[in-house]
Parts: sequence; C-alpha cells; structure tokens
Amino acid sequence: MNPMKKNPRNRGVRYALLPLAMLIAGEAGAAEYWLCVGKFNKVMPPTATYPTGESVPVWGYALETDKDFSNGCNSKPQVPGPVLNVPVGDNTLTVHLHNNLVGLPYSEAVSIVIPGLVATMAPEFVTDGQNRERVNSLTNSVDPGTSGIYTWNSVKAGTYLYHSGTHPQVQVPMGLYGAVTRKFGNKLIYEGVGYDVEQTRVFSEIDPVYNKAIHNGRFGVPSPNGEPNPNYPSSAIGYQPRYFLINGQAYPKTAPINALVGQRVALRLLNASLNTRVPLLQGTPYLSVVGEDGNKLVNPQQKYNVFMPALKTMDAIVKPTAPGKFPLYDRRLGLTNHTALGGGMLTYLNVTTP
Amino acid sequence: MNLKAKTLPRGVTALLLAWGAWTPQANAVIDGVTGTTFNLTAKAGYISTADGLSHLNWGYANCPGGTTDCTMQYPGPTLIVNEGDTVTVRLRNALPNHGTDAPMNASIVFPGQNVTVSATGAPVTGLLTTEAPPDNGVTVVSYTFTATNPGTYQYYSGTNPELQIEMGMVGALIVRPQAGANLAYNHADTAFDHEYLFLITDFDPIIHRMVDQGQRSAIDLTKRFAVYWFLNGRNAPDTLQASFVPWLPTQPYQALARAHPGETVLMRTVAAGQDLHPFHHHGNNTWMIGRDGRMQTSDPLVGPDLATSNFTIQAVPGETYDNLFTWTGEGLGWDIYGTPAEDRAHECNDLAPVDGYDDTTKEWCEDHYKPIPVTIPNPLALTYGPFYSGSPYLGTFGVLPPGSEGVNINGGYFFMWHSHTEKELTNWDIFPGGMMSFVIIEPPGVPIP
Repeated sequence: MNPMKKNPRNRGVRYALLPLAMLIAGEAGAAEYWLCVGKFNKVMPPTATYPTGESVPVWGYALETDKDFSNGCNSKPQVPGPVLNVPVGDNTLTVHLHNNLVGLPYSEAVSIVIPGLVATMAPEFVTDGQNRERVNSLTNSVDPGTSGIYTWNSVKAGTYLYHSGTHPQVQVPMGLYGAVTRKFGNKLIYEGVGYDVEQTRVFSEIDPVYNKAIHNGRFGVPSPNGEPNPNYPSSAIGYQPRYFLINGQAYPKTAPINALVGQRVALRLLNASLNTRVPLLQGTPYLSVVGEDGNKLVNPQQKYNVFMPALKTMDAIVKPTAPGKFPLYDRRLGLTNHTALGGGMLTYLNVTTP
Repeated sequence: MNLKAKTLPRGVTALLLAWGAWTPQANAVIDGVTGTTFNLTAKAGYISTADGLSHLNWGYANCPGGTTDCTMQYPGPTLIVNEGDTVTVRLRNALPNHGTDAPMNASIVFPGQNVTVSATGAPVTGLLTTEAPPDNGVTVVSYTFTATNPGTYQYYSGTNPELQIEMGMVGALIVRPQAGANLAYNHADTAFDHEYLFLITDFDPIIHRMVDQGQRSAIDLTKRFAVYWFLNGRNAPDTLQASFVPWLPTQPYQALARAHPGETVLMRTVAAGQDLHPFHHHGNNTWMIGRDGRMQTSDPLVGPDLATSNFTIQAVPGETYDNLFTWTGEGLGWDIYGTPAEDRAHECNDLAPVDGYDDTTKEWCEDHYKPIPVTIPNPLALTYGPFYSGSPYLGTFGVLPPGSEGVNINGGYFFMWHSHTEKELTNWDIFPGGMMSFVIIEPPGVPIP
C-alpha cells in the first residue's frame, strides 16, 4: 500500500477524543509515558556474509524521558520498545505518542494499540485505487511530525503486547512493538501468585529484505519488470525472517536471566514475531504457566515449553532448585543468525547459590 | 453374544498362525529398548521415503555393547524406563565427514528431565549440553537423570538442533508409572489396553542432500521448506508395515494402531519436528490426560480431572501428549454386528454392572438389531477403497468387485489418524502418503499383541 490518504471524516474522531484523554491523563497516580517513534539502523549479529553484522532499518518506540515533545525527540528508539509498567494501584495508562518518522525516504502515520486492554478505538479508513473504503488503522493515528494521546482506563494485572495499530503488516515487522506489564500486588504477578524476581522477554523476528524495501519506499511498488520480487513486496505474504531475537538481541548477545536457588522467577513471555515460537526451558523444575493473554489461568499448566502463536503473551513461574546455566530457546528452532548456526532465540537462566 | 461360526473373521486362523511365533507381550506394542543404561551412537545412514527415494539421515543407533558398530535409526531407539529409575544414556559419536565437511559434534538433551553429565575422553562444552566430538567412540558422554515422573517425553540433539533435529537426531522416552505398566500415570483412570507411539517429524530433503554432498555451509535454514512428514520415521503407507521389516532397516517402528471395540488405546504423541501439525484422529474424540509428561490434574489423587476432549492434537514442537481413545458403536443408530435378516443373529447381553454395552463385544445394546439405514449398493456399481471388507458389519466380509485390493483381512473398521494439514498427506508432492496412519477397530476374537 502506498502512502496513505486518510479519509477526512475520521480526523474529527481523532481530535474529538483528545480532550477526554487529556483530562484522564491529568489524574493523580496514573501511569503516563511519552513515546517517540523513530527510525534507526539495527546492527544484526555478524555472519559470513556480513562480518560486522548486517545493518537493518527498523522503526522503534523511544521513551522520551523529558516528557516533552516540543524540544524534539531526544531519546533513541529501540526494538522492542520500552516496557510500559503500570504500577500497582493504577488503573489508567496514558501514552503520549509522537511520530518522528520524518526526513526519511518513506514514512507513515503510526499509532499504538494494546490487545487485551479496553480502549476507545477510532478506526481510520483509506480509499483504495478501486474506490473501496478499507481500514488502515485500528485506531487513530499520528502523522509524521505530529503527536497524539492514547488512554486505557481499566488496566488489569497481566502481560500485554503493545504494537502499532496502523498498517500493522508493515509496522510490526519494522519493529513497533513492546511489552506492557502490570502486577497484581507486591510480589504478586496475579492474585495469589507470588514471585521473587520478574523478567520480561519479547520474542521477535526481522526480515532484512522486507525492512529495507519498506524503508526505501518499495513496499507496494511494482517491481521493474513486473515480476514478483522480495525487494518490492506487495504484502507480508513473502515475509521470511532471517534474524530471531529475544528482547531485540540474538544469541550470543541475548541478556541472561539471573536468579538465586529457591527464588520464584516470574517469566513474562511475549511473541511479537509473525510466526509461532515455542520457548523451551531445559533442565529446571517445570514452568508453572499461570497466565495467558493477561488472564490468570484457573489451573496452572506444568510444562517445560510454552506454545506462543503471534501476539501471544504467557506468564510462568519457575523455581530453580539447583545452581546452573539452563538454556531457554525456541523449539521451533529459530536458532540461526541469517545462515549461521548457533544463534537466534537462545538465552540462559543463570541460577546461583544465595 | 455369540457370533455364528460362519461369521467369524476369516483372517483369524491365518493371523493366529502368523502370530503364533510371537511371545505375547500384554499391552506392549511400543517397540523400544528397556533397562536403565543405554548405549547410543550418533551415526549417519540412509532412510527410505515412501515415494521410493532415499535420503541421508543422522540419528541415534542402539549399541548395547557400547560399540559404534550398529545401525542408525529414525527415530532413535524408544527408551522405555520405569518411574524412579536412575537412567544413564551413554553417547558415542561416529558421525562421518561428508565430502570436505568435517563431522559435527553430537549430544542429547532430555526436556523435562534434570540431567547431570559426566564424560570420558575429550568432551566439548556446547550451547545446550556437553557434546561428544566425532571421534568414533573414543569420547563417551554420559547423561544421567532420575525418571521422577511417569509419562511420555522426547530427546534430541542439543548440538545445533536447528540442523541436527532436521537431520533426524530425535527419539522418544517413556517412563512407566510405579502403579502399573498398563497405566499412563499413577491413577486407575489412566489405564489402557493398548498403547502406540506417534512420533511426528517434518523433513526438507534439500537440506539432507546438501549435507550429503558436503555443501553444509551453503545451507540456509531460514529458507527450509518441509515436503515430507513422518510418523515414527516412516511416511504412509510405510507406516502400516510391521516393525522391523527388513526392507526398512533404518526405520524400525510401525505406526498402526489396533483395538477391539470398547478397549482403551493410549496414544503417546511426540512432536519432535520443528513445525506445527494438527494430528487428527478419526473414530472418536480422545481425552488428553497428559502433556509434557504431566497428568492433567488438579490433584494427582483424583486422576486426570483436567483432561480435555479433542479430536485433533495440536502438536507443538518439543511437546508430548498422552491421549486415551476408545471406540464403540454407541450412537450409530444401527447394529455393528448386523441383524438376523442378514443371517447375523447374535445377542446383546449387558449384565451387571449395566453400562449399556454387551459385556463381551461392547455392542451398544440400544441399537441391537437395528438395521443399517443404507441400501448397500451393488458392488459392481462402485469402486472401493482398499480397507473396505465388502460388508458394513464388523468382522464380516462381502463380495468385492474384481480388482479390489481387499487388505482388510479381519473385517475391521479403519479410521485414519493423520495430519489435518492436508498437504502433509503427500510424499514430496505425491498423494497419498506423509503423516498418515490408521487405527483398526478389530472384531472381538482377533488377537492384538
């Protein structure tokens, strides 16, 4: 799809929401974040083809720590985006979003949605070349160089994936996703489910050819000879990830999970990949899977692996009984960095004696 | 009930003769190796796919003497142990070079088990576990664990599993509960009459060919595209052949289930590949009583009270499933043993405890002598599949048209158990094949080992 022309009638919807959102954001105790969407080049792990690592254009959310867009975006975008934690006692999450995709060969309006949390949605439509009205954004979007406010009023305990709700088949592979976390109470991930250490791991993929095509404005553009060509994708149908990431890094750069013997480790697992991933923890007592899609399970599942289709979030507790270095990896075997073996979605639970 | 002599399955005598040489092993038709110490060797070999091709495979060979002179098999030996056993698996590595590609290290990981490793020789620290270098058995890596929990598990290579699982280095582990070998778990509600293994794999022959040709460095696993699908290392129709047939020397395990009406079959399903597969069982729903070697329960004392009923196992890579399957004619609305009008006189005797079934044949007595509501067509007007006996009644035969294959030797009912991703019913684009087998509901009296 080419740069989009928004249907003007939906603009009014977007701005009509703003006063209400600002009012809520002003309440005391509400979690409030300022996020900038920007482009950067993410350096992939070295391979035979790219000895210093392939540089792939991505779009990411950045946490704007000065809470001010008027002086521009001063923080570096990241993939995945920052963890948006909603403290215990807060029921409202407010995100101020600024679209800093400016000065680029190609850019789009962006947004943020959180499946599983209730929000007022204002879908936007475009009119395609055959004069058909089609949804292009699941909620109101912000154009490059502009800002908007998004609010969720009834945040409940759980783990959620946030991502751009605008042109998601382009913007999610480009990197616009991250984790929302909220615990139930002090050292409680859900009601009655205690833990000592909390760790969040976002699984995701990168297809460098796809991202480069998008960055260079070749998405939806016919190839020179009119034949199918991955450098001129018309949809995500030919999406073929070559890098497999945990929290934005591939092994050997993945961050380990550190814990002490006897500690209850709460693992918040999220899948921002387009494909199913199956994290498997080897050698410890079983995972007790206690939550799914931000809902507490009535009956925790005892498992060593976790089935995670795209968008899935799962919460598990593991209580290691002995020190050691326990591999956590994708059993669908996204364990390569491009063509190189021994990389990808692999990290470790490092357990030491207190 | 008593079937008239003339309606007894004609194959029974032949089968009794054929099976007379078998030592009856009650409830045990999962072939494998038992004990507490196992000697496996990583080796290369060739497997046959049902389209007639052969492919290089790597796998685990059972080498009881601790040598490397043994045969690679796909999948690896099914290790059958008892709850509480201290199990040691000793691995030697006899993987060869292929062209100028150096042989790879090898290892074994056991998801769900707490493994300690010791070794002699020159072990190598790998990413997932300790590995054995390819020194033809000089190095021996021993993986030891206590089989604390009964259930179905898997093992596979922890050395570049992204390549070595594809190459065939997978196998099943079965831990039998202390309460009895005819139980899946330590509860009476997990009892079974017959058990079968369904180890699921997927396979891209181009990768195997490139390894064979010494082109390993040119393999791009991110472009992997499976075109073969296996049950117990075989494609249909090889899945239906008996275990250890001599023409499949590296693929020893069959995948054909058989049961009598009313008997309980334990399906031990092991998702050992890397793709998702919907393993669909015709005939009846099953109760999934176990996953990853854990009974689905809120309290082990009450049994599998959290079991779920399904007709398709969503096989997730790395996971295992224990399902209980039972078939009777209940609810069909007709008598599976026929009526007197067809010279099929029999009784339906449901004595105490009254459960609705004949005590012997498991006929659903409510449907006793109800005729099948179908006018059986003239056989000359139809083409039959190979599994139709010529009669709709269990244990009965009818006239088959000339040229019918007639492989249903006992007059049983064949229900397909297969991947419902329909393209997986092919062998490299040739239908039928792939991840497909059957359960045969055999008439009473037909022996099932």
